[in-house]
Amino acid sequence: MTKLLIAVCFSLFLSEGKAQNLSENELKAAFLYRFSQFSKWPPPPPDKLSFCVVGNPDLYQAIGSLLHEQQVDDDTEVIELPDNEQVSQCDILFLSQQNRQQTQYWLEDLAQSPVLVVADTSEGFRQGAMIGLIADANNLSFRVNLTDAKRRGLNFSAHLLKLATEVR
Amino acid sequence: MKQQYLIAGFMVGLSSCVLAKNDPLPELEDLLNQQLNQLPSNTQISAGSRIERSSSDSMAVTHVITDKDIRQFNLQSLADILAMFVGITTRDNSSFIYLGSRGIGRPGDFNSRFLFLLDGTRMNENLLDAGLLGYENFVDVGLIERVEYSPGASAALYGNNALLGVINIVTKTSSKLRGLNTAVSVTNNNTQHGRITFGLRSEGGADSWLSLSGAKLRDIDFPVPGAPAELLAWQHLNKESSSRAMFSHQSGSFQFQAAASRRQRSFPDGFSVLRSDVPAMVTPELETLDNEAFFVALTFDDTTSENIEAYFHISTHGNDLIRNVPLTLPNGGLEFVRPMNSGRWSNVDGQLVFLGVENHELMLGIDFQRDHRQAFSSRSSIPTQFNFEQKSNENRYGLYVQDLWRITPKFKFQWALRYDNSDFSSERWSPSLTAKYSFTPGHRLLLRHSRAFRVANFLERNANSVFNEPNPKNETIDYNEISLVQRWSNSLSSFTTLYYANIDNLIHQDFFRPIYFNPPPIRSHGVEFGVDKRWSNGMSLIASSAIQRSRLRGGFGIANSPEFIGKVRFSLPLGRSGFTLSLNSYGVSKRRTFDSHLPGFASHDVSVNWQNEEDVFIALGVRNITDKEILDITDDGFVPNLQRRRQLHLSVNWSWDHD
Repeated sequence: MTKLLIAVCFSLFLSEGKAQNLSENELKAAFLYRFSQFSKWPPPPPDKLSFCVVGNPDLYQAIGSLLHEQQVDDDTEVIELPDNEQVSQCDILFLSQQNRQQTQYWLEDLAQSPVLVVADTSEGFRQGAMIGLIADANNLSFRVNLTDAKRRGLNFSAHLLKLATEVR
Repeated sequence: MKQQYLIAGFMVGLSSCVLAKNDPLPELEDLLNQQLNQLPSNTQISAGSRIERSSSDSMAVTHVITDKDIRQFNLQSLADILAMFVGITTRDNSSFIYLGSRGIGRPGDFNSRFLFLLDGTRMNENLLDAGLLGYENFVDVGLIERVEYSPGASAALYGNNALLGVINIVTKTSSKLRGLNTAVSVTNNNTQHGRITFGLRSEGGADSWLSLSGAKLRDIDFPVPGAPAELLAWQHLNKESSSRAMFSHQSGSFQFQAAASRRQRSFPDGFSVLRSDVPAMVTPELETLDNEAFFVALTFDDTTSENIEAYFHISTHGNDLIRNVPLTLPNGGLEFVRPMNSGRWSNVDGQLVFLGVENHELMLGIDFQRDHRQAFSSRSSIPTQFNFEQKSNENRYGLYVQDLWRITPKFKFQWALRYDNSDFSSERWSPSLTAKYSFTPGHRLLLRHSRAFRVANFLERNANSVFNEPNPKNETIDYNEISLVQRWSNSLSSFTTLYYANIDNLIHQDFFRPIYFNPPPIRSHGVEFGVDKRWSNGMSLIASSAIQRSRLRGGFGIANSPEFIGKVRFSLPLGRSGFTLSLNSYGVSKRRTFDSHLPGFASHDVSVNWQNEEDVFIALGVRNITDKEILDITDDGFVPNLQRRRQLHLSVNWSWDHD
């Protein structure tokens, strides 16, 4: 019996890690998808949720794969934006590693449009993103600018606000 | 028998396959707990530039220890955390823990050559400019989100004390402390620690938490090698207890924090134990040490218009340290001397960041400190020459300006200049120039020149005046650094820093009288190197080494200045079981003391952790597993102190979220 227990323990230790081994971009894609589920757009709600990605082709692909896996292709689309002409079509806009001038460029035509802007730098969050999805050495966490979101008619569920590192 | 192994293997294999195939998209909570098995492309840090910046945009090398590292290696104090950083050593004499870095660890400096910040609030006290690293620190380690260490001279932004580096402690919010959060830890040598925290996030996003914690250390080993049997018989009287309370409330752009701590330490007086005329069984007199501290702080931090970010801070602080020292008189009588340090001070800081000029980030700031009370007194039970009192109050202020100029996407230049003045010291200017070139997004070269200072503190100033000696001059450092920060792939990064510093007037206590003097200039240079490697199964290896040489003019070596410090930490998740194995090793070369050398050493810690999703976390481990005898000097005495021997520790963290 003891040997059986040892064998089980040994097999457990050798089996795959508990983590799903998602890459940073796969993890960001999963966060974005969850953000979309816990966000509320002003009426009328979007017929087809548009995820727009700036500055990160790998994230664009990761979101595409995730939406396909979740079998929501018909209700969603993912767009990689080359410039800000289409930015008003977005429901969720992810600005990846954009500097101040770049962030200004992407935000200038949004005005008060109900677009959920997510940035992955603390500078981007301070500059106007409603969610900052920011990494530390080991994990990703997010911060929420609720005041800005409400100004644009967006709202978030209490669950999302509870899990945010900071709500402003 | 083989059949049993086959069955077990089959069961585990099957369950793994089922889990792998049916892995649903993790919930938001699970995503937050998901460990990054690769190096993130960018993180956020603030110690290097006084505002939060992306690591890729930072103009200083900043090292970070996170909440996960703290739990994984079961670190119990700020000293344990700081000991993980490259080139840092800690030395404990069981009353106070001292910090050394880059060859400078002068005995008895009370860590005044480092600036300590708690969420941006300056924490060095106002008599000795001391930084507290043990259980007397306000912050229980369970409340820490991350600790940032930015080595090098940073007075151009921070002013006094940022001579060797800046240490910023960032606390958690109720996203990690929500509901009820408890922690209990014990060690085999009678250390017990407990914490209870209650955190709440309102529907509007306001964040509040309250934390209470306490620790007891009993039967503390006497930190001197070869303690006599007469003293060891009273080891049960060598004890410490501490309690801490901290409250945080954040709403919108405002954050309010308040904290208080008390630490009581008592130990048998060696002289009364070893007196030949006292019967062996008479309980010896106790020397006691009682430290109480508090602070209250209010901070505003927000973007006030499209191009202006503002930060304002006001805080008030207090710190009292009372010792009760038994003295045996020549006639056999007993007297108690009560030296007391008492400080009260307030800080008002303001900072504006202008972003309106293209490619520039201009920062203007002011720091003001009012020392309402700086008092040192000594009282004895019968009037003697030991009675005296020194009191003063002081105003200190600093004005600073900094501009970060992004000349091209690859090349950035930052300059900063700070002016400081105070009632008891002459004016000081601290400049800083930094250039950064990014060869590729992952490979960055930093060149930095800066100057920093430390003003002679209340003790150093007043001790000299008692003996009619002139005040020691302020310490200054001219600091030059070249750093290469490289991200070779998603799983491997490295840093290399070469530095060269001229340190003038490093204040030192005289060997024969309790006064302070300025020794000859010190020239210090060295290299620090580190790598961070991750594997896809969650395994990680972080290693660093620091090689340095610090010499007084004329080529004389200085005390507590190890020429080599090496550190390695490794962690390995043990399959899907939730277990993680962690190893931490560090080695320090021999150190010079006043009259001899202390041997080099290597010490190894091992721990195994188990996490059940996110509500239970258990860590079991052994520190200094080989029970290595480590000796270090913490003051100008000739007797080295024994550092922590082998210690078995167990910690349990449990969270309960009422939602």
